[in-house]
Amino acid sequence: MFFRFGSALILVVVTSLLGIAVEKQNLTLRREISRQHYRMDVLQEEHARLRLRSQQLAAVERLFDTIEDEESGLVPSQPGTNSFLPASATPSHDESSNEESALGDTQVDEAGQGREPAVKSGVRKPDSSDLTTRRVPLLFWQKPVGDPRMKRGSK
Amino acid sequence: MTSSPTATTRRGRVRFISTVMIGLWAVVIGRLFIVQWKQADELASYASRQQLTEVTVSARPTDIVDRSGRLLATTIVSQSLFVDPQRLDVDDEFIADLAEALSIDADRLKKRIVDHANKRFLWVKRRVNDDEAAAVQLLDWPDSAYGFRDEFLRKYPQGHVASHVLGYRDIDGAGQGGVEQSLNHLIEGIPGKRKLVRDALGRIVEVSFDPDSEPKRFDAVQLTLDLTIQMFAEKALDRIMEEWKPTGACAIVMEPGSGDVLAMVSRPTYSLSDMSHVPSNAWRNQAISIIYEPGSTLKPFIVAEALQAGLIKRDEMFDCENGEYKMGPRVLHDHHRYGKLSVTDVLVKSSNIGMAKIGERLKNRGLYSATLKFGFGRPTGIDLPGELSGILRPLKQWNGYSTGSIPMGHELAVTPLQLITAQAALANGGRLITPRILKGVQGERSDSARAFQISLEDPSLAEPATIVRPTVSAEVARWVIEEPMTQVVSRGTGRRAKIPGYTVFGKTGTAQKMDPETGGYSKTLHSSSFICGAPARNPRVIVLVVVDEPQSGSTHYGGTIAAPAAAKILSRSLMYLRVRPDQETRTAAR
Repeated sequence: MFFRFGSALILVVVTSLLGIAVEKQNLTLRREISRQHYRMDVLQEEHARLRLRSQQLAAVERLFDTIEDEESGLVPSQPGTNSFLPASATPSHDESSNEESALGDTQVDEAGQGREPAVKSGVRKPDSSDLTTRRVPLLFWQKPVGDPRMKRGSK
Repeated sequence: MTSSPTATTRRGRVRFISTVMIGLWAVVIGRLFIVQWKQADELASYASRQQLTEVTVSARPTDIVDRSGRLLATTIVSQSLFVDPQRLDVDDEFIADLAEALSIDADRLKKRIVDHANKRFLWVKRRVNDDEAAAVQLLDWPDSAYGFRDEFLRKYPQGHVASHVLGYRDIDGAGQGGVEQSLNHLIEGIPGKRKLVRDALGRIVEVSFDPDSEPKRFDAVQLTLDLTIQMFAEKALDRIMEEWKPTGACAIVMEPGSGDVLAMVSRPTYSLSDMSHVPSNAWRNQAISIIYEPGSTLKPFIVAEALQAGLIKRDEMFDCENGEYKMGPRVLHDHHRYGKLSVTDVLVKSSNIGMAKIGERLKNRGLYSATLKFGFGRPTGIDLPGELSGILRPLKQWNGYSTGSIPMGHELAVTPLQLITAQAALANGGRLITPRILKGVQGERSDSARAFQISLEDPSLAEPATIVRPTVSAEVARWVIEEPMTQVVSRGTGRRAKIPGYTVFGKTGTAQKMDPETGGYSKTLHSSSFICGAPARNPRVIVLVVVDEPQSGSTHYGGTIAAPAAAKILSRSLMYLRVRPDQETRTAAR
């Protein structure tokens, strides 16, 4: 009888302990979910701030002046540099009509750049000291030092 | 001598103990039944009241992006500082430190705290920046006397670009002006609810998330604007403001086939990153909120209507009376003395007398029908607040003067958007399309977004409406664009809008404004405009520039003031959109 009673008691205690363990596990998981939602909120905020910063840094207005500046070399400074047009398709400055000259028009080229008379008279030669106009290869490949394959190749 | 209990006694004891045990278990089971079954709901709600708190969570206002996905407006979380005045000692030194940390006036701050001394909550400064928040936390605060509350802060990374189109959100997060106001139903989202579970000491131990009660929002509201083209227009108008010193100016770039507004600029303007110093005349979006007499820019529509009605022929000649024509009691004049002009030349030379004679053919009813057909006199229906309908008087108020005035763009007033929308109708083959600023919304892919859409009162609100109405036949529209309007640029008043490689069409407009003193037309106040587009055979982009009251310089003609800027915007836009030049073969063959 004592065995049966003891067994029943142990069963009740074990069941209770199991219940408590399950409940604790449940609470832990729910807390973890709460924490993950919180982390998600924080990450969303971080994402919003970083996106804002990146867009501020890459704002069109910031870049526009640089792009617009002919000195940067990013704007074609000669007629005929429109990729759609052959060089012969763009009228030379000498071809501009007398009527326009009489009106004192500012010539507008295909890139939409207003052209001053001083610029009209000649083609702007790139300055070798001007890094922005220098042609720079997009990819560099440097010979690895001590690479046996290169030694073989050099023979 | 003790005797061992008999079997009967033992059985009796066992029965007694069993009965007691069963009785105890019965009490426990009975109590469990009452707690878990009978009083379950009552006790559960009682526990909930003690443990659970429901808080409303605002939806983060949706981002606004341009047609390429570049960010125009976004939202970050910012902290707002509040104090509990009852727990705050109004110490002069502390108040001075707090005011310095927040860059606000110490005397005003002290007065506010003193005035609200009996309150338990007072905003000190809303949406403080990170440096200010850090400085506040370094102060020697009394216990529990202050706190920060998270609030959304709207940010516009592009500065003053497209400020009139975007509008802004005020301190309470409500949209004011621009799409922030007109598309607020798409931007603000739907607030959600979250349940907080507290322990016996009131500490939050769990935040319970229910996907159905989370805040709902779209990922982004996409506009038809293109930021690069917008910048072309912004820069062009800046130069006009610098060179001609007008009281205002505006530019609109539109895709005629779809009615998409690619750029909309208004001057004077303001920066969305600093709203504290905005000139009073900068709030108005001149593209939709000013009205002006369109002048000669209206002439192509009248010619198109007369051709459509069969009242004139394309090769017909009109006698322009050597520059002076008596029309009833009124004498009309041209800038130059013209003899006989073809319909094309009437537009190319912008002859008022030629147009008046076309007006006589149409009569007032026909002229009224033409203006109505091209959408004048009523708002275009774009998703922007504050759009004016222009002025188009009822037909019964028209008289003999109207027959001469309307064809030359007087006696009615239009908004720049109305004019470019009507021009788009000619450019796209005769279909008048509602201009669009909303391209669509992003975010339907997720379940929550679907639920959001369903929960919207009217899901169709998310869809930009496009209303198409016929105006004139495609043949007439094409002829007006490809012949007279193209020749306006090649040999007429719009020569400054020539773009090498492209066949540009356009029309200049110079209208006298009303003199506020005399009530008649002023000789010094003008509204100069130019509308153009290219390529003429298949127009991809049309541009309108309107300059209001240019002050400096001796000229006021649209062909001189507005045409170069419009051409610059157009040429850059065509190049940016990679529109192939249509004069390549012809020019190369020369």
